[in-house]
Amino acid sequence: MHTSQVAIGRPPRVPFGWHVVDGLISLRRSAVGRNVGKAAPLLLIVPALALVGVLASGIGFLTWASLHSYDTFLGLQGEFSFGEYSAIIHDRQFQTDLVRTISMASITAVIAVLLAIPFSLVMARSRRRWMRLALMVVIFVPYLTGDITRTFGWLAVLGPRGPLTWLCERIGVTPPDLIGTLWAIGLGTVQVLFPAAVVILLPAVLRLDPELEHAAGTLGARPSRTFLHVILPQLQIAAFGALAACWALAMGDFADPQILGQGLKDYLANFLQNRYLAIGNPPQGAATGVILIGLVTLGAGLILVLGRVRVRRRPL
Amino acid sequence: MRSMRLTVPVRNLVTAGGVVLLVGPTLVVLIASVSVGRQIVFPPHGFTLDWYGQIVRDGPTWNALLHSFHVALVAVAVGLLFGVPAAFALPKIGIGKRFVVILALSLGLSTPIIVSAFSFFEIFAQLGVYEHLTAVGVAIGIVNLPFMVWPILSAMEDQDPELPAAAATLGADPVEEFIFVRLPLMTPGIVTGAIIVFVLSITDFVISQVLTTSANQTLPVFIYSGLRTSISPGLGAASALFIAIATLVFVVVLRIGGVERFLLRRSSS
Repeated sequence: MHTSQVAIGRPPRVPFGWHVVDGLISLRRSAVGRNVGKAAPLLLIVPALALVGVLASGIGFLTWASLHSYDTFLGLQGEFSFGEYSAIIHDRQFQTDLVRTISMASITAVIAVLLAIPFSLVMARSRRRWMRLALMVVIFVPYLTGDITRTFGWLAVLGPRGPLTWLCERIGVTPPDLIGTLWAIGLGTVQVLFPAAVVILLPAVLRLDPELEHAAGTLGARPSRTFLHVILPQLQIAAFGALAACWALAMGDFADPQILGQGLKDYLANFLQNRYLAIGNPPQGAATGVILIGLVTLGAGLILVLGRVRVRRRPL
Repeated sequence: MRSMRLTVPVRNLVTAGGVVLLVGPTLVVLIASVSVGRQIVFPPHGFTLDWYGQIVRDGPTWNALLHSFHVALVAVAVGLLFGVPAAFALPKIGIGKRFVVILALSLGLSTPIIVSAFSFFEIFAQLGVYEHLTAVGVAIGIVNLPFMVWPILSAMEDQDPELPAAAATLGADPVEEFIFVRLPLMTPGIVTGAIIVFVLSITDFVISQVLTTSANQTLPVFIYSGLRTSISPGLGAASALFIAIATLVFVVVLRIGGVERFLLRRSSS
């Protein structure tokens, strides 16, 4: 469009940027005839897909390694076999860590969602913008500061001579030594799951129809009853979505058991790393990884399906 | 109204408890990082900024910080080079294809992070790039790719669909329309994505602790090695550095305004 100005009188100096734009325009025009135009979006997506392909092929190598026998002494890969899988499934340590991971993931995920429902209600309903902003900042603190700062904080809080000890001494209770226990791991895990649950729940909470609650109130329902029978059913799908995500996150949690559990209460993620690096049996670590992916996919899928089930309600 | 007093306090109580759970430990790290003494003690003794000075003066800590910056900048570059074009193109393909592509790009997020870490371990060993910091950055960039793509997609959703038509009516070539109309509108999304990826990458622990060695460990891994011997205020200061970075970033992102709109959006997710 700028070329119309150029045609009149002395040619004005065209800024360099416009030459670039003109070049791009002619490039585009020459491409149109050659059917590149239609494929252009795909051409922009393919590099990103190829990049993710690096991870996908890594998972492929991992699976490949898990499906071959391995000589731990010589460090050599042998023939195709399911031996590593049967070896770890019969491994006492694996069984203990598997049960611990699944039960802890289930408990922490449920607690996180139960906390997140009232939290997101308060956040979404707050009339004051600063309050919404403050709660939003708070949600992202554990994510943006990262695993290390987060767990370091718990070590400082729960550790000897920390605030917990101080508080207990004030009340006159013997301070418990929580580091290295499931309590510490659970606290740390809930801290990361809770924000994830809030982020997933918020859109559904914002879609809640306030008219329904008013109607329930007019009909004489107490707020607790309105919450259970009017608000919760509307949040069912989102709550199960949050539960699935939290469960998947907790199943793969590495940092909390590693740092807060101090290797005393390992999850599958820690078991995997120990087999890979400390014990020097990569194929067993790889097999654990494949099992973990399978478990997470199945479990999260099952939770999502459960969320879609319509509960037949008794007439009130 | 009588029973309103019953449930609303429950909600507020849970929210207050949640806030303590989320920020309490972080506050303790901040307090610990400015206290005197070799051990973290509560209530803290005295006030000092000495531990922060130590970060700069202590060679290994400083090196670890530089390694972290290296990794984070590579991850952001990966996001900008690969994620941004994909995000631009995504709305232009069919809805079914779009779903599949988004699912594929989120592979790093849906796979348990420790499994991703060892998958990179395997493939980097095959490619012979294991233990290179740039490779670590690429790995973290791949895992965090969705965080680059989502803010851009949400920025594009907010755009007026009539804009391309309006620009064309005014005689703009599609190239001009892209450079002068669409790109400026998407910039907040790109900046938000880049910042989020930067923070997530500089604080990464799980992938780094698998892929780095004691010679090129990043700051989170360095702090972790220290944690095994003692929980000292010095390590607290190094951890608090991440709090400072996160705070700074959050202020910038909030000013851009994308997060609030994204979180409090009313459309289906």
